[in-house]
Amino acid sequence: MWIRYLIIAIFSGILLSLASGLYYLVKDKGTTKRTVKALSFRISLSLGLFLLLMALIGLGVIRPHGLYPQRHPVTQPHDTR
Amino acid sequence: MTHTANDYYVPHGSHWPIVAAIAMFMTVIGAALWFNGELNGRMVLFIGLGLIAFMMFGWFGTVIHENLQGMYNDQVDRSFRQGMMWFIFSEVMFFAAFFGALFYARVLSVPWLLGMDSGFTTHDVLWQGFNEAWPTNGPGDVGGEFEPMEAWGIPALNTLLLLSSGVTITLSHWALKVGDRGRCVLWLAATVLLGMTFLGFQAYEYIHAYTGMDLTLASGIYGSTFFMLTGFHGMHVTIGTVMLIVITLRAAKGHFTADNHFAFEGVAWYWHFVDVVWLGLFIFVYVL
Repeated sequence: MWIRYLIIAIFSGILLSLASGLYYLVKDKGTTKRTVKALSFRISLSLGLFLLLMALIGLGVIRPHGLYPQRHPVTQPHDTR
Repeated sequence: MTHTANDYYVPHGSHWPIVAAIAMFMTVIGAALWFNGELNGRMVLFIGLGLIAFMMFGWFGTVIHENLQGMYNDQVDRSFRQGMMWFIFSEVMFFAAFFGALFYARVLSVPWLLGMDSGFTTHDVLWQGFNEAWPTNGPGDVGGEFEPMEAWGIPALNTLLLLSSGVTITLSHWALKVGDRGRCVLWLAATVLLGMTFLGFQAYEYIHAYTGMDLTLASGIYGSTFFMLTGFHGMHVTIGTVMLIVITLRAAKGHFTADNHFAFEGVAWYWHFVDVVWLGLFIFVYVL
Protein backbone atom coordinates (compact mmCIF):
# COMPACT_ATOMS: atom_id res chain seq x y z
CA MET A 1 0.00 0.00 0.00
CA TRP A 2 2.86 2.40 0.84
CA ILE A 3 4.02 2.06 -2.79
CA ARG A 4 0.74 3.61 -3.92
CA TYR A 5 1.30 6.55 -1.59
CA LEU A 6 4.85 6.95 -2.90
CA ILE A 7 3.60 6.98 -6.52
CA ILE A 8 0.90 9.53 -5.65
CA ALA A 9 3.44 11.68 -3.74
CA ILE A 10 5.82 11.79 -6.74
CA PHE A 11 2.87 12.53 -9.03
CA SER A 12 1.88 15.41 -6.73
CA GLY A 13 5.44 16.76 -7.04
CA ILE A 14 5.05 16.65 -10.82
CA LEU A 15 1.77 18.58 -10.59
CA LEU A 16 3.38 21.19 -8.32
CA SER A 17 6.37 21.76 -10.62
CA LEU A 18 4.01 22.04 -13.62
CA ALA A 19 1.86 24.58 -11.75
CA SER A 20 4.94 26.60 -10.76
CA GLY A 21 5.92 26.66 -14.46
CA LEU A 22 2.56 28.26 -15.29
CA TYR A 23 2.95 30.74 -12.45
CA TYR A 24 6.38 31.85 -13.75
CA LEU A 25 5.02 31.97 -17.32
CA VAL A 26 2.37 34.47 -16.24
CA LYS A 27 4.56 36.37 -13.75
CA ASP A 28 7.94 36.63 -15.51
CA LYS A 29 6.62 37.18 -19.06
CA GLY A 30 9.41 35.17 -20.67
CA THR A 31 12.22 37.32 -19.30
CA THR A 32 13.66 34.76 -16.87
CA LYS A 33 14.54 31.07 -17.03
CA ARG A 34 12.29 30.10 -14.13
CA THR A 35 9.57 28.59 -16.40
CA VAL A 36 11.98 26.38 -18.33
CA LYS A 37 13.71 25.36 -15.08
CA ALA A 38 10.38 24.34 -13.49
CA LEU A 39 9.44 22.39 -16.60
CA SER A 40 12.86 20.69 -16.70
CA PHE A 41 12.31 19.58 -13.10
CA ARG A 42 8.84 18.35 -14.06
CA ILE A 43 10.09 16.19 -16.94
CA SER A 44 12.93 14.78 -14.82
CA LEU A 45 10.49 13.75 -12.08
CA SER A 46 8.13 12.25 -14.67
CA LEU A 47 10.88 10.15 -16.24
CA GLY A 48 11.94 9.01 -12.76
CA LEU A 49 8.37 8.00 -11.90
CA PHE A 50 7.97 6.11 -15.18
CA LEU A 51 11.22 4.19 -14.59
CA LEU A 52 10.13 3.45 -11.02
CA LEU A 53 6.76 2.13 -12.26
CA MET A 54 8.43 -0.07 -14.85
CA ALA A 55 10.87 -1.41 -12.22
CA LEU A 56 8.04 -2.09 -9.74
CA ILE A 57 6.01 -3.90 -12.40
CA GLY A 58 9.11 -5.81 -13.53
CA LEU A 59 9.90 -6.89 -9.96
CA GLY A 60 6.28 -7.87 -9.40
CA VAL A 61 5.75 -5.35 -6.58
CA ILE A 62 2.73 -3.90 -8.36
CA ARG A 63 0.59 -5.85 -10.75
CA PRO A 64 -1.36 -3.80 -13.31
CA HIS A 65 -4.92 -5.02 -13.63
CA GLY A 66 -4.59 -5.69 -17.32
CA LEU A 67 -1.10 -7.16 -17.30
CA TYR A 68 -2.11 -10.77 -17.70
CA PRO A 69 -4.84 -10.51 -20.26
CA GLN A 70 -7.62 -13.01 -20.21
CA ARG A 71 -11.12 -12.82 -21.51
CA HIS A 72 -13.15 -10.84 -19.01
CA PRO A 73 -15.08 -13.42 -17.00
CA VAL A 74 -18.82 -13.30 -16.95
CA THR A 75 -20.39 -12.69 -13.56
CA GLN A 76 -19.48 -15.49 -11.22
CA PRO A 77 -21.78 -17.20 -8.73
CA HIS A 78 -22.51 -15.28 -5.57
CA ASP A 79 -19.75 -15.48 -3.02
CA THR A 80 -21.33 -16.80 0.14
CA ARG A 81 -19.90 -14.82 3.00
CA MET B 1 -6.54 54.82 -35.63
CA THR B 2 -2.81 54.50 -34.99
CA HIS B 3 -1.51 52.62 -32.00
CA THR B 4 1.14 53.77 -29.61
CA ALA B 5 2.93 51.75 -26.97
CA ASN B 6 0.54 53.07 -24.31
CA ASP B 7 -2.71 52.35 -26.13
CA TYR B 8 -4.54 49.17 -25.33
CA TYR B 9 -5.10 47.35 -28.60
CA VAL B 10 -8.82 46.85 -29.18
CA PRO B 11 -9.37 44.09 -31.73
CA HIS B 12 -11.31 44.90 -34.87
CA GLY B 13 -14.64 43.15 -35.51
CA SER B 14 -13.65 39.54 -36.06
CA HIS B 15 -15.73 36.75 -37.58
CA TRP B 16 -13.52 34.00 -36.06
CA PRO B 17 -15.38 33.64 -32.71
CA ILE B 18 -18.68 32.91 -34.45
CA VAL B 19 -16.95 30.50 -36.85
CA ALA B 20 -15.41 28.76 -33.80
CA ALA B 21 -18.80 28.55 -32.05
CA ILE B 22 -20.53 27.04 -35.11
CA ALA B 23 -17.61 24.64 -35.70
CA MET B 24 -17.62 23.36 -32.11
CA PHE B 25 -21.43 23.07 -32.06
CA MET B 26 -21.37 20.97 -35.24
CA THR B 27 -18.52 18.80 -33.92
CA VAL B 28 -20.26 18.01 -30.64
CA ILE B 29 -23.72 17.51 -32.16
CA GLY B 30 -22.18 15.37 -34.93
CA ALA B 31 -20.33 13.19 -32.41
CA ALA B 32 -23.46 12.80 -30.25
CA LEU B 33 -25.59 11.82 -33.28
CA TRP B 34 -22.93 9.40 -34.53
CA PHE B 35 -22.55 7.67 -31.15
CA ASN B 36 -26.32 7.28 -30.99
CA GLY B 37 -26.43 5.50 -34.32
CA GLU B 38 -27.45 8.38 -36.56
CA LEU B 39 -25.43 7.91 -39.76
CA ASN B 40 -25.54 11.57 -40.81
CA GLY B 41 -23.83 12.35 -37.50
CA ARG B 42 -20.45 11.34 -38.87
CA MET B 43 -20.82 13.78 -41.78
CA VAL B 44 -21.82 16.61 -39.40
CA LEU B 45 -18.83 15.74 -37.19
CA PHE B 46 -16.36 15.88 -40.07
CA ILE B 47 -17.78 19.18 -41.35
CA GLY B 48 -17.38 20.54 -37.79
CA LEU B 49 -13.78 19.30 -37.58
CA GLY B 50 -13.01 20.80 -41.00
CA LEU B 51 -14.44 24.13 -39.83
CA ILE B 52 -12.30 23.97 -36.66
CA ALA B 53 -9.17 23.44 -38.80
CA PHE B 54 -10.21 26.37 -41.03
CA MET B 55 -10.87 28.55 -37.97
CA MET B 56 -7.52 27.68 -36.35
CA PHE B 57 -5.66 28.45 -39.57
CA GLY B 58 -7.45 31.79 -40.04
CA TRP B 59 -7.48 32.95 -36.42
CA PHE B 60 -3.85 31.99 -35.72
CA GLY B 61 -2.89 33.79 -38.95
CA THR B 62 -4.70 36.98 -37.87
CA VAL B 63 -3.07 37.02 -34.42
CA ILE B 64 0.41 36.30 -35.82
CA HIS B 65 -0.04 39.04 -38.42
CA GLU B 66 -1.17 41.59 -35.80
CA ASN B 67 1.72 40.62 -33.55
CA LEU B 68 4.26 41.09 -36.34
CA GLN B 69 2.70 44.46 -37.16
CA GLY B 70 3.63 45.56 -33.62
CA MET B 71 0.01 46.10 -32.56
CA TYR B 72 0.44 44.35 -29.20
CA ASN B 73 1.92 46.20 -26.24
CA ASP B 74 2.75 44.95 -22.72
CA GLN B 75 -0.85 45.16 -21.60
CA VAL B 76 -1.96 42.86 -24.44
CA ASP B 77 0.87 40.50 -23.51
CA ARG B 78 -0.51 40.38 -19.95
CA SER B 79 -3.98 39.66 -21.33
CA PHE B 80 -2.63 36.73 -23.36
CA ARG B 81 -0.94 35.28 -20.29
CA GLN B 82 -4.03 35.70 -18.12
CA GLY B 83 -6.12 34.15 -20.89
CA MET B 84 -3.75 31.18 -20.86
CA MET B 85 -4.20 30.84 -17.10
CA TRP B 86 -8.02 30.76 -17.35
CA PHE B 87 -7.87 28.39 -20.29
CA ILE B 88 -5.71 25.98 -18.30
CA PHE B 89 -8.03 26.32 -15.30
CA SER B 90 -10.93 25.19 -17.52
CA GLU B 91 -8.79 22.32 -18.85
CA VAL B 92 -7.96 21.15 -15.33
CA MET B 93 -11.67 21.21 -14.43
CA PHE B 94 -12.48 19.31 -17.63
CA PHE B 95 -10.10 16.46 -16.86
CA ALA B 96 -10.97 16.58 -13.15
CA ALA B 97 -14.55 15.70 -14.11
CA PHE B 98 -13.48 12.56 -15.99
CA PHE B 99 -10.87 11.50 -13.43
CA GLY B 100 -13.55 12.18 -10.81
CA ALA B 101 -15.95 9.81 -12.63
CA LEU B 102 -13.24 7.12 -12.63
CA PHE B 103 -12.54 7.57 -8.91
CA TYR B 104 -16.24 7.57 -8.07
CA ALA B 105 -16.74 4.32 -9.94
CA ARG B 106 -13.63 2.59 -8.59
CA VAL B 107 -13.53 3.83 -5.02
CA LEU B 108 -17.23 4.24 -4.21
CA SER B 109 -19.86 2.74 -6.49
CA VAL B 110 -18.19 -0.60 -7.33
CA PRO B 111 -17.36 -1.33 -3.66
CA TRP B 112 -20.97 -0.45 -2.77
CA LEU B 113 -22.21 -2.90 -5.38
CA LEU B 114 -19.87 -5.46 -3.83
CA GLY B 115 -21.58 -4.88 -0.49
CA MET B 116 -18.84 -2.92 1.23
CA ASP B 117 -19.42 -0.03 3.62
CA SER B 118 -22.99 1.16 3.70
CA GLY B 119 -23.79 -0.44 0.35
CA PHE B 120 -24.44 -3.93 1.68
CA THR B 121 -28.17 -3.70 1.00
CA THR B 122 -27.52 -2.77 -2.63
CA HIS B 123 -25.53 -5.95 -2.94
CA ASP B 124 -27.81 -8.20 -0.95
CA VAL B 125 -31.09 -6.99 -2.37
CA LEU B 126 -30.27 -6.03 -5.95
CA TRP B 127 -27.01 -7.61 -7.14
CA GLN B 128 -26.29 -10.74 -5.16
CA GLY B 129 -24.33 -12.32 -7.98
CA PHE B 130 -21.99 -9.36 -8.37
CA ASN B 131 -18.52 -9.98 -6.96
CA GLU B 132 -16.05 -8.36 -9.33
CA ALA B 133 -13.51 -5.73 -8.46
CA TRP B 134 -11.98 -3.37 -11.05
CA PRO B 135 -12.01 -3.69 -14.05
CA THR B 136 -15.62 -4.76 -14.09
CA ASN B 137 -18.30 -5.15 -16.72
CA GLY B 138 -20.85 -4.07 -14.13
CA PRO B 139 -23.63 -5.92 -12.38
CA GLY B 140 -25.84 -8.00 -14.63
CA ASP B 141 -23.06 -8.05 -17.26
CA VAL B 142 -24.21 -4.67 -18.61
CA GLY B 143 -20.83 -4.19 -20.24
CA GLY B 144 -20.78 -7.62 -21.90
CA GLU B 145 -17.58 -9.61 -22.25
CA PHE B 146 -14.35 -7.78 -22.98
CA GLU B 147 -10.65 -7.85 -22.33
CA PRO B 148 -9.18 -5.00 -20.24
CA MET B 149 -6.41 -2.94 -21.82
CA GLU B 150 -2.89 -4.01 -20.89
CA ALA B 151 -0.39 -1.58 -19.40
CA TRP B 152 2.53 -3.25 -21.12
CA GLY B 153 2.84 -2.90 -24.86
CA ILE B 154 1.33 0.14 -26.54
CA PRO B 155 0.29 2.11 -23.41
CA ALA B 156 3.80 1.83 -21.90
CA LEU B 157 5.37 2.62 -25.28
CA ASN B 158 3.06 5.61 -25.70
CA THR B 159 4.02 6.84 -22.22
CA LEU B 160 7.68 6.63 -23.21
CA LEU B 161 6.94 8.46 -26.47
CA LEU B 162 5.13 11.32 -24.72
CA LEU B 163 7.79 11.59 -22.01
CA SER B 164 10.46 11.72 -24.74
CA SER B 165 8.48 14.51 -26.39
CA GLY B 166 8.52 16.29 -23.02
CA VAL B 167 12.32 16.03 -23.07
CA THR B 168 12.60 17.31 -26.68
CA ILE B 169 10.28 20.29 -26.06
CA THR B 170 12.36 21.15 -22.96
CA LEU B 171 15.59 20.95 -25.00
CA SER B 172 13.98 23.23 -27.59
CA HIS B 173 12.93 25.63 -24.82
CA TRP B 174 16.50 25.80 -23.48
CA ALA B 175 17.84 26.33 -27.02
CA LEU B 176 15.45 29.25 -27.46
CA LYS B 177 16.52 30.77 -24.14
CA VAL B 178 20.17 30.74 -25.25
CA GLY B 179 19.29 32.04 -28.72
CA ASP B 180 20.12 28.88 -30.69
CA ARG B 181 17.40 28.94 -33.35
CA GLY B 182 18.66 25.88 -35.26
CA ARG B 183 18.50 23.53 -32.28
CA CYS B 184 15.23 25.08 -31.13
CA VAL B 185 13.59 24.20 -34.48
CA LEU B 186 15.21 20.76 -34.60
CA TRP B 187 13.91 19.72 -31.16
CA LEU B 188 10.50 21.20 -31.94
CA ALA B 189 10.31 19.11 -35.12
CA ALA B 190 11.30 16.03 -33.08
CA THR B 191 8.48 16.83 -30.62
CA VAL B 192 5.96 17.05 -33.50
CA LEU B 193 7.16 13.69 -34.82
CA LEU B 194 6.85 12.04 -31.39
CA GLY B 195 3.34 13.51 -30.94
CA MET B 196 2.25 12.14 -34.32
CA THR B 197 3.71 8.70 -33.52
CA PHE B 198 1.80 8.69 -30.22
CA LEU B 199 -1.44 9.44 -32.09
CA GLY B 200 -0.75 6.70 -34.64
CA PHE B 201 -0.23 4.13 -31.85
CA GLN B 202 -3.35 5.27 -30.05
CA ALA B 203 -5.43 4.89 -33.22
CA TYR B 204 -4.02 1.36 -33.56
CA GLU B 205 -4.84 0.64 -29.89
CA TYR B 206 -8.45 1.79 -30.37
CA ILE B 207 -8.93 -0.34 -33.49
CA HIS B 208 -7.46 -3.33 -31.64
CA ALA B 209 -9.73 -2.67 -28.63
CA TYR B 210 -12.86 -2.55 -30.79
CA THR B 211 -12.04 -5.41 -33.14
CA GLY B 212 -9.86 -7.75 -31.08
CA MET B 213 -10.85 -7.21 -27.44
CA ASP B 214 -14.55 -6.27 -27.63
CA LEU B 215 -13.65 -3.28 -25.49
CA THR B 216 -15.92 -0.44 -26.60
CA LEU B 217 -17.56 2.70 -25.26
CA ALA B 218 -20.47 0.42 -24.29
CA SER B 219 -18.32 -1.94 -22.14
CA GLY B 220 -19.83 -0.74 -18.87
CA ILE B 221 -18.16 1.81 -16.60
CA TYR B 222 -14.64 0.54 -17.41
CA GLY B 223 -15.07 0.95 -21.18
CA SER B 224 -16.79 4.31 -20.97
CA THR B 225 -14.26 5.85 -18.54
CA PHE B 226 -11.36 4.34 -20.52
CA PHE B 227 -12.50 5.82 -23.83
CA MET B 228 -13.66 9.14 -22.38
CA LEU B 229 -10.33 9.76 -20.63
CA THR B 230 -7.96 8.46 -23.32
CA GLY B 231 -10.12 9.83 -26.16
CA PHE B 232 -10.29 13.38 -24.85
CA HIS B 233 -6.60 13.19 -24.04
CA GLY B 234 -5.93 12.11 -27.65
CA MET B 235 -7.95 15.10 -28.84
CA HIS B 236 -5.71 17.36 -26.75
CA VAL B 237 -2.57 15.74 -28.18
CA THR B 238 -3.97 16.40 -31.67
CA ILE B 239 -4.61 20.08 -30.91
CA GLY B 240 -1.18 20.32 -29.22
CA THR B 241 0.51 18.79 -32.26
CA VAL B 242 -1.18 21.32 -34.58
CA MET B 243 -0.01 24.16 -32.32
CA LEU B 244 3.50 22.67 -32.18
CA ILE B 245 3.62 22.63 -36.00
CA VAL B 246 2.61 26.30 -36.01
CA ILE B 247 5.32 27.34 -33.54
CA THR B 248 7.92 25.18 -35.33
CA LEU B 249 7.27 27.15 -38.52
CA ARG B 250 7.26 30.40 -36.58
CA ALA B 251 10.53 29.54 -34.82
CA ALA B 252 12.08 28.68 -38.21
CA LYS B 253 11.00 32.11 -39.49
CA GLY B 254 12.63 33.78 -36.50
CA HIS B 255 9.45 35.05 -34.82
CA PHE B 256 10.77 34.33 -31.31
CA THR B 257 13.59 35.82 -29.27
CA ALA B 258 15.03 34.71 -25.93
CA ASP B 259 12.91 37.31 -24.08
CA ASN B 260 9.84 37.54 -26.31
CA HIS B 261 8.19 34.21 -27.09
CA PHE B 262 4.80 33.92 -25.42
CA ALA B 263 3.37 31.68 -28.18
CA PHE B 264 6.28 29.27 -27.78
CA GLU B 265 6.07 29.17 -23.99
CA GLY B 266 2.28 28.83 -24.04
CA VAL B 267 2.40 25.85 -26.42
CA ALA B 268 5.38 24.27 -24.61
CA TRP B 269 3.61 24.51 -21.26
CA TYR B 270 0.40 23.11 -22.79
CA TRP B 271 2.42 20.17 -24.14
CA HIS B 272 3.84 19.52 -20.67
CA PHE B 273 0.28 19.64 -19.30
CA VAL B 274 -0.94 17.08 -21.85
CA ASP B 275 2.08 14.93 -20.94
CA VAL B 276 1.23 15.05 -17.22
CA VAL B 277 -2.43 14.20 -17.91
CA TRP B 278 -1.22 11.13 -19.81
CA LEU B 279 1.03 10.11 -16.94
CA GLY B 280 -2.01 10.39 -14.65
CA LEU B 281 -3.98 8.25 -17.09
CA PHE B 282 -1.22 5.67 -17.30
CA ILE B 283 -1.07 5.40 -13.52
CA PHE B 284 -4.77 5.42 -12.72
CA VAL B 285 -6.34 3.84 -15.82
CA TYR B 286 -3.75 1.30 -16.88
CA VAL B 287 -1.57 0.45 -13.87
CA LEU B 288 -3.13 0.95 -10.41
